[in-house]
Amino acid sequence: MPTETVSYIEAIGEALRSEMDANPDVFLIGEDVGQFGGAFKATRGFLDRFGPRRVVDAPIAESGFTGLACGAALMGLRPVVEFQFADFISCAFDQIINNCSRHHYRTGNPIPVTFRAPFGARLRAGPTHSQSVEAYFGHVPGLKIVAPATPQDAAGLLISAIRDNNPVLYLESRYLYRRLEAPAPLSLDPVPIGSANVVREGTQVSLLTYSVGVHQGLEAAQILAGEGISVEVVDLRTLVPLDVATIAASVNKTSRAVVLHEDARRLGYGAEIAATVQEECFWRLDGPVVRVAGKNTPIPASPALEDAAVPQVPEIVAALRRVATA
Amino acid sequence: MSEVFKMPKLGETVTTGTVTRWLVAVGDRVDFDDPLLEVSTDKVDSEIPSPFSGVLLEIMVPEGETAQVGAELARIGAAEEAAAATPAGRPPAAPPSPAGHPPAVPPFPAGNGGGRALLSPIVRQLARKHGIDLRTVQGSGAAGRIRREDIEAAIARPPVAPSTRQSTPAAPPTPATTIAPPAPATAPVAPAVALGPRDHAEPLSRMRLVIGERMIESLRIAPHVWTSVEVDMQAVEEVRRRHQERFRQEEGTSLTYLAFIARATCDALRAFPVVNASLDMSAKTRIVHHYVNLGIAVDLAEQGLVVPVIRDADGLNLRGLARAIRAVAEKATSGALTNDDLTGSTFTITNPGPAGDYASAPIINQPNSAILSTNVVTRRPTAVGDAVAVHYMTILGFSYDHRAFDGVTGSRFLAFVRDALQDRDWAAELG
Repeated sequence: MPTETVSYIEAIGEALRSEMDANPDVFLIGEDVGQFGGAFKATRGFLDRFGPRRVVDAPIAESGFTGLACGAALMGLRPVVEFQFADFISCAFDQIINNCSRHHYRTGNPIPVTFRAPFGARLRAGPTHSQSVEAYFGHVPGLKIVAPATPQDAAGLLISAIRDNNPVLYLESRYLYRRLEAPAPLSLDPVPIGSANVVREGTQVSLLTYSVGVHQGLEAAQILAGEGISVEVVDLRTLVPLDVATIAASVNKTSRAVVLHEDARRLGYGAEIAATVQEECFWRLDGPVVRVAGKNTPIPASPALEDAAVPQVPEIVAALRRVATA
Repeated sequence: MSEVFKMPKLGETVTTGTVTRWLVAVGDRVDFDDPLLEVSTDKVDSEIPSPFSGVLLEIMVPEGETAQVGAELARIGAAEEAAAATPAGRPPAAPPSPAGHPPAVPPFPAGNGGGRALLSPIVRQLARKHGIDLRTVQGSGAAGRIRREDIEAAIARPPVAPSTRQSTPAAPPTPATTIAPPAPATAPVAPAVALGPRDHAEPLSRMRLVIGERMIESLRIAPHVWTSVEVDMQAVEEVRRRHQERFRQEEGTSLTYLAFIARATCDALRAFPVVNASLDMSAKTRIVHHYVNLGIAVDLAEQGLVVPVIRDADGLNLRGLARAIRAVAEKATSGALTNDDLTGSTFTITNPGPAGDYASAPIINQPNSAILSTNVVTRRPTAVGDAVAVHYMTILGFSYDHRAFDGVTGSRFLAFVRDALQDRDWAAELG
């Protein structure tokens, strides 16, 4: 069946398939990745194509299969670990931090593990299936973090993550899985880790964001363009290591910055970005750096409350307008 | 071992000083507390004593140059070091700024109300780089804040030639370097006056130059309106006569009309807070002062004019004001004023009355909103009831900034002062 477009989740599947085709050391492990084709069907057909030794259905024991992946990486394989929901990654905290992220510093051995973590809210999944986890892991030295916002970047960053010799936390947006389509065929060139992308150029305020925020930001920028306010939208793409040069170039140009993410505001990744902006751009700033982020609350089960708990476009528009004109 | 002498802090609000004269030459001996140099700031000239004893080894900031507070001015040490001292090498006058960051921006002119304007780093940086006078920039942000775009627009505008600046003859040898930010270079509009055989060019004093700048600036930024009121000073005069002798014995000074006028003015300022306020047009605000810091213009033997400030003058009665006026006048004529004595006025009275003026129209002392001038008190015929009587009469002149308030307010303010002078039981304040 010829497809003319590729969705975000299809892009993840294509990238995985291509890396597994290219390198026999790459294998998948996680709950329901084989027979069921993945909780969200990212790996449908993989079991037939690559067999049970490379597509491993694991029991519901994240700490166990994450530890297994760490050991496999130490032995030279390149495991891709799938967490059904990023919420469950906390079960494997010890393995990710004390084993994967630390081991290279102790022995010099590479640990090429990719952790696929579908994250984020807006799908009426309640407080334990909607979380954003980047702030916990962003603090951990030895771990890279990417958060693609488009099908193209979903593919390119997954390929880079798998090829990277460090553990990489790959935050994929469940909300975007089937909401975005990119023209087929998809490029399977890697997108370098650590490079942000200016997705809309502007002159008056920089919106620094990632994942779902990029699309909300573009929508807000379009609305504000109608008011004569010029917004530059920067898709960070990689959270660790942060592309400080691109951020600084943008803010030095616009002299104003708003940081947007869905994760809770308090000690969210936006705090790190805002601090970086003031360190790098203070003398060029025309006003304080403002954060727009989720409320400091678990994601509510009630749809109305969930909508109120995470940033929405009107709030982003208002913040950008205020910063651009104050 | 030598000591480094640094530019002292000459007042709370002072950030730079200009070396007007070194009183000791390099190689000469100076003792602790001996006069070392003269430094002038915007308002005062001060003689600075040496904090060290020794030989003046090196002068780092020559006469005529301006240095930041804390900048190294000279080195003083033992005579033997004189030979080793480098004669010419002079480090930059300004203290180094930390790690590549731009140095502190020149203080925002107090002309717009004394309140510190909210200027972002980028606005400060662009203003400094392009020599933009921020008082000329209209802010479009919240509460009139100057945004990056406003200053970019100001940079894009062609500079306006300040036409009043150029008529001074030859530049004085003493420094004119610290007055305000440098004006954009412009072609002279008026040719210098040609010197004939019976002409003689006299350098203007620094005080003359500063007064000139301030007068031009005040007239430029504030639309002045002059008004006046006639006051029957008969009651005041009678109280003066009755109490003059005792007052002089008690206070060692005469009881002047100015004390009465100052007292009545303070009360009027309490009743009309807008007259006692300062405008900050860049922030689109009026700064209302809940106190009266009364500036009193004092003539310095026709060589200049200073305005020392009587703080919290509204808390003083007639006797207290008379004492305070005398104290600041003496301090001014003895040259003992510090910068802190000369800043912070909320309203000013100028006092040409004793010189015999009939009516006068003063220029506002920025950042005040208005200024009152006294004039001669003479005996004139005036109507009292249906009869003509000869009373002590005067005219009070009043210039105000029409941006701050309108004519009705000005007139009512003056009427308040007049009524207080005419009707108050002044004897009660001297009991």
